[in-house]
Amino acid sequence: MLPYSAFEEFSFIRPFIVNSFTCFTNTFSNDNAIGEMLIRHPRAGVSVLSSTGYGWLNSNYYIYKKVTQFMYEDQMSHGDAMRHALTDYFFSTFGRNSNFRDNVDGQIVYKYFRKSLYYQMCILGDPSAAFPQPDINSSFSLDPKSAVTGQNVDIQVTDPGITRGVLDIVGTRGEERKYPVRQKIPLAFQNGQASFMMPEHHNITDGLAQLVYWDDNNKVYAGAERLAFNAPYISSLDYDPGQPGISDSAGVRIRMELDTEKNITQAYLRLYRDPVSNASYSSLALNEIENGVYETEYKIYYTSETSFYLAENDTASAVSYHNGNYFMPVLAVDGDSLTGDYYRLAPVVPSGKDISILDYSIEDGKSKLVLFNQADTAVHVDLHIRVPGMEKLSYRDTLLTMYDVDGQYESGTEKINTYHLDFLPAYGNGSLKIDIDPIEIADTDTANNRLVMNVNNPWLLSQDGQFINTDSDTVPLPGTTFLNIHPGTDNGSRQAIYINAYDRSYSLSGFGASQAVQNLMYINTPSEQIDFRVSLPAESLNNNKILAYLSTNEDEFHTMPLETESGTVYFPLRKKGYYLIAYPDENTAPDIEVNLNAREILTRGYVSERSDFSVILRDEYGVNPLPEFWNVLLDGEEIDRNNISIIRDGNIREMGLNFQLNMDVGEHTLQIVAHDLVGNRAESEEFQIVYTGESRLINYGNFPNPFTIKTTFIYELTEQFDDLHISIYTLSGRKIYTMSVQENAITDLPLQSIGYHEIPWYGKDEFGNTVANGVYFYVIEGNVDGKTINVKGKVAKLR
Amino acid sequence: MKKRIIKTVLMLSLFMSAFADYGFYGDAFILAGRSSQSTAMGGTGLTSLNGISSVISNPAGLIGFRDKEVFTQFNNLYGLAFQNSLGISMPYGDYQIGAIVNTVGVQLYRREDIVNQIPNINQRRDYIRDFLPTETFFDLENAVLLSVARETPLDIKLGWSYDRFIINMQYGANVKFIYKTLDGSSALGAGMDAGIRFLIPGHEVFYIKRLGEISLGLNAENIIKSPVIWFNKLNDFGNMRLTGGIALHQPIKALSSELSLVLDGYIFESRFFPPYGVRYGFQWKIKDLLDIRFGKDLSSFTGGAGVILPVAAGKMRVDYSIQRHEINWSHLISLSYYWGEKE
Repeated sequence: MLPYSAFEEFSFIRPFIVNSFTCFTNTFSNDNAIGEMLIRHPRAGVSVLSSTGYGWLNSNYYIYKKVTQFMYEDQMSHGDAMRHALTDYFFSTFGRNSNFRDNVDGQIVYKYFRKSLYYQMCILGDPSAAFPQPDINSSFSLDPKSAVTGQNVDIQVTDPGITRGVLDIVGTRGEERKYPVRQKIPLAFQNGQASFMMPEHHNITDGLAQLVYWDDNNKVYAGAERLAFNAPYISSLDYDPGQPGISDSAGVRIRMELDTEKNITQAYLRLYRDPVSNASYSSLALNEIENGVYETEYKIYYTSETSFYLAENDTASAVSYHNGNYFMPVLAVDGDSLTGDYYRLAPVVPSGKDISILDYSIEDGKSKLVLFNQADTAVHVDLHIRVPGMEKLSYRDTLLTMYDVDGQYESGTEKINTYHLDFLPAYGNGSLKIDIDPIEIADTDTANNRLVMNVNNPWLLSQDGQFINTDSDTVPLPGTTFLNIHPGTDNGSRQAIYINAYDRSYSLSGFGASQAVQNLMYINTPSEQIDFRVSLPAESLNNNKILAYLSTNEDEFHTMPLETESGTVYFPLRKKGYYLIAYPDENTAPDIEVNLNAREILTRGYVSERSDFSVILRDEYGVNPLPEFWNVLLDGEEIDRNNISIIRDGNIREMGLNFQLNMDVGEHTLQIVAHDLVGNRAESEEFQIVYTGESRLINYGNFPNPFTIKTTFIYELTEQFDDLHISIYTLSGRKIYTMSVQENAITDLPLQSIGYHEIPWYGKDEFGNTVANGVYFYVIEGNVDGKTINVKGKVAKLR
Repeated sequence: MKKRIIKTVLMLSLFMSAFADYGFYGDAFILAGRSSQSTAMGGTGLTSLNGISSVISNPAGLIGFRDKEVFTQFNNLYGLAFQNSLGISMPYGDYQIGAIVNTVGVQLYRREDIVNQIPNINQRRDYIRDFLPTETFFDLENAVLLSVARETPLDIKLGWSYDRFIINMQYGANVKFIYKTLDGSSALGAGMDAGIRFLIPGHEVFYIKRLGEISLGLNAENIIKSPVIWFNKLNDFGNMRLTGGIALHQPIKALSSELSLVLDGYIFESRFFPPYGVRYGFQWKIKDLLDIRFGKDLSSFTGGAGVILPVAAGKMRVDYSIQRHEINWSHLISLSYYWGEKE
């Protein structure tokens, strides 16, 4: 357990978390308990998975494990990890045996899940707290790499400005068996160097030095280096006579030179296949050939990168076969058996691996080529792409493919190389051939160096007034009224457009105006500005049809400028979006619905500055969303558009306008103007509205009076009230009925809404009893702006 | 005699139950007739009021005041209606008898059923904005309560080792009639109330020195549902209701005064059970000259005062109450002149 002051040491780095199995009692029982310390810490978080009184340890354990996993592996915050763990737990209980299930009111519930949630789970402190995650994984060096207890070990980091660090010495025989030797050794760096004294390590012989270090700017680094305990006094260790090659018939030995001043009585090597995950080993005997110099007893003959056999001296007759490249020296010194570090010794592997084509496709007006490098080195590749039968369509380049730095041949690492090339095949359907030729290596498998495929290219690319992926500067547009597309001449830069043409059967349901549009062509491009021209027969625009542009996000709509030459009409493509031909005979203006506080506005209705106006514009063929095609007029003057919020919901058939009005006391007129996409104009009626400037509750009385079955209380509010209710009393002052919900209202409005209200009463009390003939008092009372306003009246019932 | 009364009450109840369609809350002539003393004390009075003005709360209170008394009252009901009362009571042998006439009147504007007559809500609103009602109609309700009450001392003997003491049992009944007119329609109604209360000498029963008199009371209103029969209209009933109360009347030496703490509450009500609630009342009676009263009704605070002045051979009592009701302030003034040999 660290003292509380220790947390302060790390406070500027990252928050801390404690996940606890224990219950509140143990975690928070006194000021020194871990929970108490952390809950007081400004950056701490603590989760308590308590099983007090319920004994359901499995639930706690499951969630504890998940929380820890999420925080470590997925670097989640404390709160997120808890949430994910609970979700996991919830779903994990589905389908389990009946012990998990309970029946409550006929419903199957998962009882331990409920218990866990209700009784056992909590997060205290800062839920955003997360385990310290290093910003940068870095390496550092140790000198010496093997040390005895009490010996100083120097640490050298190369990162600049490092001031402090914390070191853990961890014993290990592979990651599955890691245990601490000494933790939280504080380090102070000067010029990137610090040192520590090798702690007592009992019978542990090797492990890791795990270092977290940081600079004054809170830039945090972390890394780990192998550290052997008990120095084996090795001066050098290498192959003799030199690095072996695979299938090298000469064979080599491993030679080790030791400190002759030490009383070393025996030495041998342990052979590991993998020092990280495999702790099993076999032994290789060493012979002392001269004072302090040892060699493997047999010669080593590699048959692959990782496997070899041992043979008698100068013969190739195998004595034994082995697998692995890691060696650990073991020395007998003064009766102790001391182990050294892992040493990687491996044969020379020739470069000759496969470079292949994985995929080809077209994205954003460019070719996308994916290559696969299985060699141990970066390799230049000669690339050639051709479109058969088209001389102009050929692309040649030299690419540098990267190899995977870890030598791990797995998908998704750096050896998957993706290139975006400016080359495009011809517009439309066609075939393509791709060849690669690795330059620096002998490719061992050339079967994947060629790719032949069919492509359907909807992209056109132009430069200098020419299409560069066709043989012509004019490309026909298939299946539409639009005839051809031509590159423009204004902009000589390389431009690509994606053409998707639709005929009249295309449904614009996603945008609305399906009926009005006869033809439509969608142009997409990665460029902001493009320069193309499209031609179509002049008769396509007979009967005053219009050719219009609608931007992709529907915030721009206008008709296109046209040029006519010899019966052909031309229009420019400048932006991505929809280019459409619309019916001319659509002459229905948009429908305008004006609402006040979510209810149809009544002319001469009361309004206030807090009144919410909403306008819904509807047109079967699309409402024109451009600002110059709609208006909100107050007394004939356009109101400030900045005060209007526009609701589109991605449907051009509807558009909503929400706003409030600032006005003087008195009567005003409100009018809405709108256009549809083909220019039909609509004007709403001029609604008369009245702004009183004060909060009033106007009581008009009850109609009829006297009444037999039903009477209606009618009142009007000049302001939105905060609440309002109607109470009915007997003559003696006894309250028998209260109305405060909108279901009572004929006008389907909350009683406190601004405007005109009609509230019926059927001569019943709170319990549905018919009241006697006679007179009753009623009070309409509401609150607005902190004051109470009420009005009273008399109502007579006579059945 | 008793059997005959019980038989009559049962038959009347059965008769009234035969009406298929009826309404409730014809309570104007009952509750609206409360005296200013009762109103000032939160509407209590079941156990503490005496005289003809008490019969609305409990007819047994009539016997608590054995003088001859003339009583009148004017009540401005929330500024929306008026209510007048005129009563008289006198001793008659061992009984105290009385009669009180209670009148409630309301003037209302007549309005037509324009919701059905004008279907368009815009037009309807415009019509109503310009509509000024001019034609009025009246509701007038005249009720007469005939009351009788008697007191019987009960000699309580609890055993040889306890003191004996006397509890005064007061009991009484109202027979009431009402004549109502509303917008030209008329109705006749009748009803009965019965009440009882016990006056217990506190210091004798509880052995607490100078403990004042404790009063326990019960009142049953509309015990035959008080039917109101309308001509050519559907009929109404009053609610059968049972209320109970307790009061402590504690004499104190200072100013030769008496403090009364009163508590009333509903026990049962037919058809409609009101929100459970208790009414509280407090009265400080100073030298039989000045009464100061406070109280809390089910929903509002009340207050008032009374002055007793010698006039000619008797005394004149003037009482005022004020009530802050949810509807509006209500003011009530009553006058009572009484004379006689004993109280």
